[in-house]
Amino acid sequence: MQDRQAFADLYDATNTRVFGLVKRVLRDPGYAEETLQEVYLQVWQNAGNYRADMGSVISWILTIGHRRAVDRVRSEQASTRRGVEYSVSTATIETDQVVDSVVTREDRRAVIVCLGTLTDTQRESIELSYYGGLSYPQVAERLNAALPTVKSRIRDGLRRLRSCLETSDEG
Amino acid sequence: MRADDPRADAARMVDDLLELYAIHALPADEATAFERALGLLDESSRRQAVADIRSTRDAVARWAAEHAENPDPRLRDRVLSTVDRDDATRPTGDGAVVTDELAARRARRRRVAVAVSSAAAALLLVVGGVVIGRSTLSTPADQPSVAQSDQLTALQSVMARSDVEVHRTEMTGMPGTVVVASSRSADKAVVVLDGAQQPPSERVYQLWLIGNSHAPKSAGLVSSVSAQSPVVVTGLTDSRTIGMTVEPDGGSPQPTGAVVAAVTL
Repeated sequence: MQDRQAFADLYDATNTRVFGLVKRVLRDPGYAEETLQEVYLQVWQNAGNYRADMGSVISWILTIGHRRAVDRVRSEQASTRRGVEYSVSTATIETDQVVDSVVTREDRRAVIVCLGTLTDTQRESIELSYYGGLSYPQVAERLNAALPTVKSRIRDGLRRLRSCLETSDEG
Repeated sequence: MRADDPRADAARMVDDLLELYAIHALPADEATAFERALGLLDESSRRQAVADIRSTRDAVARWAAEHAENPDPRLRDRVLSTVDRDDATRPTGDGAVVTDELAARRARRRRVAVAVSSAAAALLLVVGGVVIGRSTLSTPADQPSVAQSDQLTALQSVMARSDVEVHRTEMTGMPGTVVVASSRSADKAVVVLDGAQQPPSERVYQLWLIGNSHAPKSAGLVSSVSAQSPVVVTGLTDSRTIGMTVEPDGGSPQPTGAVVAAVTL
């Protein structure tokens, strides 16, 4: 089937990034595989709703994947009242595990350089939220920090990352 | 500005929470409040906020790419067969899948939907920067052509050519990428904007064919920045470049505004 081929190409171009992200949030390969399937079904069904103002295609698909993974983490927390176990140490970049040829070397260098401009506390709060799937009040509880403190760490850290990446694109 | 001005309150909330919203760090009730506040902003502030959400997501997407990891290769077949099975089931709003008891009656309508998905997937591939030079993207004869706009049909026909080339260039001075799929043998190019903002009010993006032997020729207006609205450009002979400028509404006979992109074919 011909439209299936186009979709298969889209899967091939994006699946390692989506899987890497949802697995990091869910910390369980089985859940991550289930979620990956759900994500691509959703992409298939909603490709017609994609609009350019939602951002680039890969970040649109990653946003769908992140949303699903986060929802799953939070609904499990709500049903089991299980504590938060995410450890920041698992979120460090394992450079040699990068398998995606689409990411160019310059792009990766920019990401690493720009992450280096964040303070340790900014990066810790963002990682707990983005890769740990925690809401900011959960991050605050986990770090035993005040809500406004965590809020501004996440906000200021992401602003810094964003503007650094934008600047490096122009240079 | 009054202290109880709801629009000022909304602007403060959007400024305070935008990045947290973009990465799903808000609890559900605060995310809902954020979206309501976003709706209260004036047009240009809202556009700016949406652009900031988008570029925050682009930034974390680039970070996430650092953690790319191969799933079990068998998953590929499972994903593709899930999509095939989607023919017999429909999803509910929350993502659960229920059996569609009216499958037979709705079969025709679904075939139309699949045809749309097919063109949309082809478009995502173009926009996503995946160069595809295979003939499998041509429109199958048994798919109802009414399901697709002429532009999407043209896109598929260009993508089916063996000499198809896909070029991408960042727009100058504003966010967004211009993606051009072109085929000399088809004498056609399809232009799509990815991640671009609406032009300023009473302005429009206009495309130009540029060559050494002729003055710039208008190649059409970009009616919508939606990736679902590609612009088809025909008559590429003698032209080496497709340019894009910002022009007054309705377009200009010759380019007058700033060149925001130039793509060499």
